[in-house]
Amino acid sequence: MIARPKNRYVLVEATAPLDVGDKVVSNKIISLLCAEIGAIGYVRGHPKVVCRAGERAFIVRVNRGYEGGIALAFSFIKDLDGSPVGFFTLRTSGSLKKLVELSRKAGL
Amino acid sequence: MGYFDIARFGVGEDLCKRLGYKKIYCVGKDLVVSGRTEKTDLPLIVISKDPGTLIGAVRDSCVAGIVFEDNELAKKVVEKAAEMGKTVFLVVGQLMKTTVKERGVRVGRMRKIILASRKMGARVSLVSFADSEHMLLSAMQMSEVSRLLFDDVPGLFGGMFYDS
Repeated sequence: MIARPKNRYVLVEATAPLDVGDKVVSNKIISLLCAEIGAIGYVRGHPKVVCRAGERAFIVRVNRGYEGGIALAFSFIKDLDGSPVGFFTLRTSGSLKKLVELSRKAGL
Repeated sequence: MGYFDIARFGVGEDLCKRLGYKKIYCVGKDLVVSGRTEKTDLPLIVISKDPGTLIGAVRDSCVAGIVFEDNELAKKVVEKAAEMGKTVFLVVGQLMKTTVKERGVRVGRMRKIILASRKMGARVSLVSFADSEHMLLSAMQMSEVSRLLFDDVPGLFGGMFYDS
């Protein structure tokens, strides 16, 4: 029997406003992540920007067990399209709803 | 238990709490960072390449800790730091601005410092020394960096700057 993949959601805050609803921006973030974690890490972790959680925050879906690697990869990304930007991974959760609520409470 | 960090600029309480730290100390306001031992009212952190300067700093009571500039390990300094109960700070911010190859070299050097400190019983703490907001790391990211550096050191996990 093939087990259903279990996901974890990571709330990420950027230091500058980002429109992750735009495919170009979200693909850029994923390609920067891929550069840090490598092709094998990408296939195993399978990170994906799932939704926007505020002006500067977004949520990344990742396979369970790889959220630490994603947090580490985000800490090495300091540049997006030539402008300096930092990413903080604030919280991980098993449910998307909880992170959206958390982001709303924090006023991100 | 709360985690702490040291930055080169003032970080607001709101951001500090969001990042998961109890407090982010500001260089110049809460502590002083210098290349040599000097008289200050605030706790002092000495950054130097010279083992002589660092040994002198470790002996001084107003010095809270030391930083090996460019992560060049001097075992005598670590031994003295362990003896005097001083902290060896590792600047994680250095890992952020470099290429992958250079990062590998720096991680290797940091591991050497950690292993020597572990062997001699000196306390090691990771700090960002961020000079702007985008160079900061959340507590979760700092913990992952500590795993990157500390994971294969037996009997030691995490080197974050904490109090109990």
